[in-house]
Amino acid sequence: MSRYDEDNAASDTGSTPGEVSEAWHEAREDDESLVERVVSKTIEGGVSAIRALFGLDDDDD
Amino acid sequence: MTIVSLWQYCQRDTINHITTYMTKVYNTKTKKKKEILEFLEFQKPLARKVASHYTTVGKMLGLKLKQLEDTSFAGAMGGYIKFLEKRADKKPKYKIATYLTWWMRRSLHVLIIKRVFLIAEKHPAKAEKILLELLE
Repeated sequence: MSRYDEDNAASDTGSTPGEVSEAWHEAREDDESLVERVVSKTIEGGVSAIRALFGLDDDDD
Repeated sequence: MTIVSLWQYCQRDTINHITTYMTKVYNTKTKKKKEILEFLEFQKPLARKVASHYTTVGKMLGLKLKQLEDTSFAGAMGGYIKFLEKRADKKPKYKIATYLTWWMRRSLHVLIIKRVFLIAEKHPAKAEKILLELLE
């Protein structure tokens, strides 16, 4: 399987491998369980469900 | 100024004060929301790029490219909100986009795992075959 790795992230964002490692380490620490919720919501209702989850929907604009 | 007019003045002033305050809060909230959405919109090509790494496995699992891209982008949304909650106060040593790539990738991994489990419930042999192919 072609997996998105740290080298890909470095080249796509113009970062050094060290910066990618630090960013990914902090992301991993932040909240892995949020990803589960985000994916479940996306399966249920697509990206608009995620916007609603974080209060970013257009309803109250 | 009579008691009644004083009361009316206070009422009016309080209402004005509340209205001004609410307008300020609403504008701040709307502005922030607009900025968040604009920033996220800017991350869409990167979310697509990350998703493109999973098209082969997605095909094996019956996932459309749009589902992969949406999941990757949804991960970026979750990651950015988390970043604003926990890390916006101190200047990071990395680009926020770099931080978001982890969220995009992880969301796709979670989607793939969920999909394999779903297939395994109804078609265990098919799921086994897919897993073995993924391990190669």
